[in-house]
Amino acid sequence: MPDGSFAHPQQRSFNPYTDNGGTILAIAGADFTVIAGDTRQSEGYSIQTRYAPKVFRLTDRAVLAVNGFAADGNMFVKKVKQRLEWYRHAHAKDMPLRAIARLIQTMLYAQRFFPYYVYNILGGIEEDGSYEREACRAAGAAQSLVQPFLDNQIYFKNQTAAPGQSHPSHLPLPDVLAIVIDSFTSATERHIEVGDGLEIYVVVAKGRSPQGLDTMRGVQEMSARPDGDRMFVIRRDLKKD
Amino acid sequence: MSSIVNNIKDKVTGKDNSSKQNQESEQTFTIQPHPAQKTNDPRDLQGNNFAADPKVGAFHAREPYIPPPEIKNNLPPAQCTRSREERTRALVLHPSTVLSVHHFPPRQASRYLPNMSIMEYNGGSVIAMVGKECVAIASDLRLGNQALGISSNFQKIFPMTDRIYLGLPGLATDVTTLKETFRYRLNMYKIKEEREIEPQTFAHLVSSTLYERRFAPWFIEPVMAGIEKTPSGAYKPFIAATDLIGCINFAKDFVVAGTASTKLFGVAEGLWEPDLEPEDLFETCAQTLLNAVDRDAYSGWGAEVYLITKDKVIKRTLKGRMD
Repeated sequence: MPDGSFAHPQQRSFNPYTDNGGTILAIAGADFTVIAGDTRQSEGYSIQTRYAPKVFRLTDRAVLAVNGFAADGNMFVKKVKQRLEWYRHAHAKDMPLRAIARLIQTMLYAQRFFPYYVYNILGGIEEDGSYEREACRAAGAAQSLVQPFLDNQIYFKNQTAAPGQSHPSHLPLPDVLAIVIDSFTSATERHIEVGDGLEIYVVVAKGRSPQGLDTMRGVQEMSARPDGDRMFVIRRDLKKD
Repeated sequence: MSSIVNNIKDKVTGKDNSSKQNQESEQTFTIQPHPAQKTNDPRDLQGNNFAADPKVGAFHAREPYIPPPEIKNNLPPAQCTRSREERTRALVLHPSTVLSVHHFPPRQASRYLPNMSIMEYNGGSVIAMVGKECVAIASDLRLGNQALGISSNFQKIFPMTDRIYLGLPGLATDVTTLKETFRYRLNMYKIKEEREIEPQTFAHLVSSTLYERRFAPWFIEPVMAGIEKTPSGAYKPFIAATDLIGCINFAKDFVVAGTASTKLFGVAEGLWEPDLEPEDLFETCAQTLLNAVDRDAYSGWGAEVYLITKDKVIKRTLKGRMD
């Protein structure tokens, strides 16, 4: 016990990190991307808030989901947005998606010895249509619950196609949304740090059909202009227990 | 000694023998040499006098080597960057200069325990699911020594009666022991009761067997599946699982255990639905297990699924990823 005396050796420690729970998830379609996250923010067994967004719109066509230590996540998004604004001032256009991906990588590595305690998933549309390095990815508290489910439902792992047929490489939007919602309701059921609310961002490539999204209930459109890439947010309740 | 005796003798006799001459003339004795040797040197007795040879003698030296003065007096002084005063001062530390104290070896109890989890030592996972008038229980087939795979044919599910199957994921040595323990206890039950045990009763038998070892537990989390006979004569699916000290979980949908349990929970929660027909239940159970163990390094290496209905049991061994 540190007591300020010199009589015996003393040790002090400070842990600058905490885990705020939650889960994020992204799935790429042929001409759209879905990036989702729950909205619960917790510390230990306490819920700090039932609505703390983890998914953020960066540009007209880029969305970033952050998960882990919420304070670091918010700071990181703030700094990424600032860098994107500087880019706009310098180049009079939005930064392309692959440049944002590299920027995030560099910004995280710049903090190599005092890292942002954050897992990031970047999603969006490349200038020449949908861009992907992965078709699906889960991160966060319920990653181990969700990822094998996604392997099965998105990549059709351990499933054999009917004779003469093959599995689709990309699923249509309604199927993807159903899988995202099922993933989060499942994770909410079995993981205490997941729940309260669900925010699903959908980025649809320019000129492609939003596949019924524009008429779906409770959908908010965030597109900068109707003739470019379109962005939608779907909000759903999750169990609060 | 003899001179002291002589002095006493002289005093008694009154003689004065303290002169030098008398001392020199005192009688002396020598030890006679060994008949086989010429001198009294003990080395002469050690065979062919090897020690007398300086080359051999160096290896049999009995005393420290003392260098001759010309070498001893011309050695350079010991090298040290600090003066003797500085070195002495450094030995007395102010308490505030001690940043941390290390004990070698560390004095924690963990020194005697390897840094590992016994529950994850051999790997392996089991899942059981309820369907419509049927149940399924499935396990992987891996036996490992931590990350090293040992066997791809290690059974974890054992028949207890015709209608009850028990999965034992956990420490492999306890799998083998408990399997035999339950066989013995069920045989005793059958002899005393003259009937087969019912699943509900069996779950409590499992529970009390594990709780018997409350403070030195079996490192097993059993999962059981069976069909129970209701008083009306109907058949009802039954599943249950316990923790390693026997706390029972009678679930209505599915139960999981083992190193892939979190993954099994996630997939099962997404795929399972109520009242699945036997073949659909088999598919659901198999898919859940395969996809969960593919994301777990300690489980996998093949799988087997038991589909239990009221009139038959089907065992299927599955081909899975072998990495």
